[in-house]
Amino acid sequence: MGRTSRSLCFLACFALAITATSSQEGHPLVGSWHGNWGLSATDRKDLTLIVDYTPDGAGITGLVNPGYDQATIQNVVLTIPKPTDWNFKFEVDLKDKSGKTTHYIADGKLDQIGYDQRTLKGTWSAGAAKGDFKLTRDRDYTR
Amino acid sequence: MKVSTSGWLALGFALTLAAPVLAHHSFAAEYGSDPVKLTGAVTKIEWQNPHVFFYIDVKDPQTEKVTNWALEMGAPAVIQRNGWTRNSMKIGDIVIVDGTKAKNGKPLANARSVVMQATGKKLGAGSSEGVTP
Repeated sequence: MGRTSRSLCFLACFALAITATSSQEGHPLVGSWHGNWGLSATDRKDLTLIVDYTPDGAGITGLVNPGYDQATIQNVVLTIPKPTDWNFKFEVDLKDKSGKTTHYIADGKLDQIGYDQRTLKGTWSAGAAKGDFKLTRDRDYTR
Repeated sequence: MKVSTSGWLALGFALTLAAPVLAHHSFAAEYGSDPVKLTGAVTKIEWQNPHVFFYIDVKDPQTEKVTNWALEMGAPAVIQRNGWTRNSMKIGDIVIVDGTKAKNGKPLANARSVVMQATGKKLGAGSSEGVTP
């Protein structure tokens, strides 16, 4: 292999390395998620979840429905029994239209973890009432 | 025509370098002439070249249905000259955006100005409208 070819090989490898680095996803839960929840199949409410992760600090933090009625997620538990099974549980106090606050527990499982538009779905409960939720991570417009 | 290994490598390298250029586009290619005014809560900010994007949840007051809009601004250097810093906008902030809708009908718009509802501060968004064809 000549000198020019070796240089080209090096440049190609460098370009590939940059591409690979720029497509790193980071923590699978981090990002903005949109979907809905409901205590029945017909009564659904839109749901937005923003998750952040600070490795040397607060760990996983999150915000539900950013804006006027936003609420911080509490008692976050992430269990990973095996690399493909990510179970994510959190609690949140949400206000309804009348201003009444209800305590909800979301217990979900991450699906399609290798896909940028992965999903998080599971049970959504309030006291004895049990429903479900489904969220899909938003894809960046620029991707 | 026989292409050498070096030729293929050079082509691959050129294509790799060309990829980011695809993200850059003219205003006219993506946006029409329909103005839009949106009020919503910030859900995500992508502070990157060639354009800064931010996303807001806009709630329909009647149905309570939420639509997540993507809003494009100018390049980071351009909007910094308009007074923006990385801390100007945070997740959950309520903003009022004036802009132009995308042609494709998706919840996407080019922002001309952004008003922070809490402070009333208005910031130019470095829109390319009227600057590039």
